[in-house]
Amino acid sequence: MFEERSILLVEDSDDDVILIQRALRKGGITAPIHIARDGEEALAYFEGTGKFFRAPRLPLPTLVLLDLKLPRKNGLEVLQWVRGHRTLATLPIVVFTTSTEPSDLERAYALGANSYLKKPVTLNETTELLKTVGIYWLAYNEQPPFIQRGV
Amino acid sequence: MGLRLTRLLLVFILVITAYIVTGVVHYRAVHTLVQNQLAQRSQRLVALELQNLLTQTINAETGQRGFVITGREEYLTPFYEARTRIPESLAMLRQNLGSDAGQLQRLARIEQLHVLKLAELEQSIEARRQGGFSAAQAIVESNRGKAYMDEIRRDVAAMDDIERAKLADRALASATSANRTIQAIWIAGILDLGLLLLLFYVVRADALRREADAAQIANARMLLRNVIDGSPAVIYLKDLSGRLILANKEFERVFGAATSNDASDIGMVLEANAMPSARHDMEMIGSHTVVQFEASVHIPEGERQFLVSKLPLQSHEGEVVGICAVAVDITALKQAENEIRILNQSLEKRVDERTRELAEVNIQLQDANTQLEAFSYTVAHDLRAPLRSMQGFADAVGEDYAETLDDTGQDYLRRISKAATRMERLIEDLLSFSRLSRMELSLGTVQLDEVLTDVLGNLRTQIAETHAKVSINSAMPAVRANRAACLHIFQNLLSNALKFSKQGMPPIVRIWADAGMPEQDPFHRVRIWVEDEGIGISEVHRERIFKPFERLHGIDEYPGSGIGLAVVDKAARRMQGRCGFDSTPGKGTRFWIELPLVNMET
Repeated sequence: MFEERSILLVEDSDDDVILIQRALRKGGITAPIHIARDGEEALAYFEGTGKFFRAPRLPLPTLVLLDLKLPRKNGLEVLQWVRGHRTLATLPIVVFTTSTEPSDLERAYALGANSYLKKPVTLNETTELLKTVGIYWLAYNEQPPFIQRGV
Repeated sequence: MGLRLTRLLLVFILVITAYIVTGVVHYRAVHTLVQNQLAQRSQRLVALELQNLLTQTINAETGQRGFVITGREEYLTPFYEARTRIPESLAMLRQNLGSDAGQLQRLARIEQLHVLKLAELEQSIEARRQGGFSAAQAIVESNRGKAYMDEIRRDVAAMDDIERAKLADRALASATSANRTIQAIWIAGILDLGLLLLLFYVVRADALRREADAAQIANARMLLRNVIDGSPAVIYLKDLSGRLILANKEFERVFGAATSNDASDIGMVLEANAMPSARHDMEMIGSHTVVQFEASVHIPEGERQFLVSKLPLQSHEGEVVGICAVAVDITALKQAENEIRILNQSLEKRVDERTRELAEVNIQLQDANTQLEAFSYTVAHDLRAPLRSMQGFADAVGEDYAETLDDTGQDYLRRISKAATRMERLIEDLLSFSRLSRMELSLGTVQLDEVLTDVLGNLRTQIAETHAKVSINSAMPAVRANRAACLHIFQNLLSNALKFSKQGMPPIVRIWADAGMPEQDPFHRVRIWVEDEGIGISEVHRERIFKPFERLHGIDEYPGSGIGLAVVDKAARRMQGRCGFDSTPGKGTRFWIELPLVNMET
């Protein structure tokens, strides 16, 4: 389902990567999932540098699932960087984090996050949530024109 | 003074006038008397002279007769004597008759008759000498002489009668006049006596008043003396030339009793420090105002500070006649002022130091707070992440490998998952408690009915599962609070009420607000009750119940972190509120929370 569309998951925890991938799979989301392990890798993905250097032409993700607590560059810095680029300004970004600090919420929205989701405690809830998110952003949501054309 | 003098003068004039008038009256009375006396004397003289005249005439006739009869010359002596004396007598009569015209006329006739009589007598005498007795006899017998004589007698008698009548009149007038004079003297005497008495009275009254005035002045002087001597200030009065008029005891005490009558020396001492004395004295006198200045004076006791007030002395006509100076010793005040200034300075320094110290402490506190926040963040994220992994993978194993695991394996997995869930809850509660402690709680108007609606919405699953009956039994007030904190409070209270119900009985929860507010509460708080019919809380736990992590029950019996009531207490305190409870174990618990009413904050 939606194979032509992809998800960029910015997440430093291996456990979470596995659990999220499982949840998406269980939820029937088959779109390819690219993984960035920290903030800098996320930036490298967009720039085609570092780990992603000379990689086959990378499509822009349809959705970015962004954790906030990240090594090197945190989620908010990534958000700020992405929103600072004209071509990426409209990229749908959903913050997916354990933090419920009001200050994090405030700043994430201020920097242009499209949504802010708290990681659920149980596996079932996580599966339910990610299924909903996947269907919403990949199927129902109308994509911004820039993103359709690719980098 | 002037009035009294005028009155005295008037009385004097009155007395003098009365004396002059009575004097004139006396003079006139005496004058009349004297005149009458003089007139009476003339009239008596006239009467005597008339007799004398008649006697002379008779003497003349007697002489003539003797000669005629005898022819001897010596008989003629009386005749000659009478002939000389008669004109003298007539002259005297004329002189004494004054201006009485009738009498003068009669006298003129008598004189004429005498001329005729004397001529007849001489004729007869000549005839005797020449012709002898018979010739003379013829003349005598002609009766001419007798006729003259009779006429003279008649006229003299008439004159005498008139004079006598006049004399009687005079005597009567004289007596009347004398009576009147006596009366006048009496009246004048009484009047004068009266006036003298009046004068005495007036002079005496004046003297008495003078005495009274003098006593009053002496009293006033004494009063003034008492007042200025009783004053703790130095008081002295000087005249315009600078001489001391009056000085009080304090003056003498401070400047010494030996001070001469010359105020200029101490005056100068007092005034030298401010401005040239003469100039500001003149200014003060000109403007009629009080001049005040501070002066330091060297006296035997040492250097003293005085607050000097000088004011012009005015006579009752408004003229400035001198200067009054009042000098208060303010040395002690000045010293106190100085000490206060020094104290103030040191206080300011201490305040500065304390402010600096506080600022340092504040920075340390801020650092600590920042660290605490970082710690909380770490707790929130880093502790939760592995927890979630544990739970996630436990669930994943449970789902994906269900067939390979026996029941014990399945049970273990569920226990791992449940423990993780509890820990997650614990971390969540801990975080919200610490957030409540350190966060700035912005206060605003919070409608408690809205808060309760939200809370009941959050708890609807729990309410439905336990078949609880929750009722709100009164109107809910608006309070000055933080909405999120209020949500925490009621969420905790209500979920406790639902949770700690008796086994197998649906919870019954009642909520209401007190109508009034506790009396004399400076914060104007309103009390809201949350009552349940649950298991109740024993009195022995009263102290522990609002402390964090205190649990009264086993985790399996009543699950929870033991932090809910600590959150309620903390939130209430941070909004100037209070909380507490009444409880009967086995019957139920009534929790209450007090929050400041909106618009009533002090």
